[in-house]
Amino acid sequence: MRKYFYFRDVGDEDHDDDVSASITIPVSDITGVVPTAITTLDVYYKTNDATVPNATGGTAAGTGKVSLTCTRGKLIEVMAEIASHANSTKPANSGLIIMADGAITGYDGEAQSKFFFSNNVTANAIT
Amino acid sequence: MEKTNFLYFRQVADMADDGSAGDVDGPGSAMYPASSFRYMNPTADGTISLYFDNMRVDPTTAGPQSDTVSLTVTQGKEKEAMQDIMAAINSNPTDGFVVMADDCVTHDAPAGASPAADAARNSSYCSSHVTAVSAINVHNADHGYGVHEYSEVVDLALDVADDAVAGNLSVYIPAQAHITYAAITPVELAGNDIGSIALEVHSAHDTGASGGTEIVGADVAGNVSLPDADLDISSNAVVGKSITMGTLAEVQRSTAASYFALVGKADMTSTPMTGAPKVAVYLKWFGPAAVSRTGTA
Repeated sequence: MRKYFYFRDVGDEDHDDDVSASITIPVSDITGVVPTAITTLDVYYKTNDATVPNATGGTAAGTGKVSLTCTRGKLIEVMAEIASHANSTKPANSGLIIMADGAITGYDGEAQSKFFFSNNVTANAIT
Repeated sequence: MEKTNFLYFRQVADMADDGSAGDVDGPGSAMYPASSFRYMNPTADGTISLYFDNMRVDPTTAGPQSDTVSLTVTQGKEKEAMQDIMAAINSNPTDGFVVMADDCVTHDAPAGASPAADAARNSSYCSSHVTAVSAINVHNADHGYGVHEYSEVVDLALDVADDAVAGNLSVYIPAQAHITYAAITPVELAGNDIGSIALEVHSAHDTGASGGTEIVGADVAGNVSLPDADLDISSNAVVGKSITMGTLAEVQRSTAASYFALVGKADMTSTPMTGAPKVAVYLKWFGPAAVSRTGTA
């Protein structure tokens, strides 16, 4: 089964309407993870879609990235959890692994909680 | 389930400093899927460099074509270190997280945690012959150079003047492309007996009058298109009947970018086309990868 990571970065599910709002990434397309600041990890993935934001914020095909805001000093733990989730056997039914969901307002306006795959991750951005 | 090992390297001595150097040519740490590992070789006495597929690829830049992690090893033990590195890459940890080399010797932690912040910790290496991470280079590379093909179906404007743009490709090719082949094909005809199109390339994106050079059509220098004609997209034309670049020599774009336009070859303003005519464009070239001209969807 092919596994996918899911990231969403909108506060309201009703605004989940473009590639910067949410994305599914094949785990096999992850090209690497690297810190870009003491509290930021970037997860890079391959994309042949020129409409997906790329490594430098442009739109040329190449690699896209999801930036994770992390606890300082806990980057190795977050990377280990990314590896662990990539090898998780839990998503046996769908293959979709929810890594981050920033929506705090549901589709009919109800409040809901953010979710992140790690206690050391506090935000995500699809840039 | 498919297992994916992720290879972890860290070169900062203090956990709290990981990320402080940014991510270009020297991040504090990096993690690669094992599938990105390509090869390794000694690069100095006591140094082995591991090469990976680029983590970051941006066709608009021109960086080195691989990322590298260099490890300090015991001089004379490069072979043994490589054996240990390969064993680690092919190991079978439950979570797939493989610490290849970790120079960190100082903890970071919130107040009250154990171990405490700044407490000492041991560095960790996959081989007793590896003693340090000497460099991590995560380049912002251009993976585009090579042979490329691209095809796109373009909707045409209906009321186009002679030599004016009827439609543009949504991508362009950066400088240094060699266009080796091109073809245009009607995939949906106009609703009336109007419509004649050629393919042009230009160094800029044109709308209105075209400033490009024709590479497929009746006006190509030397009349080498096959057949030597413009593309008929009128209601009397034949869907799928292509015009190709024929024997036109490859087009060396040198320092010019390549923007492609389908250009009207008859005055279609007094009697515009009707319907929803569409033309498929096929390109083949050697050089950089195509880049989106239209921006984020």
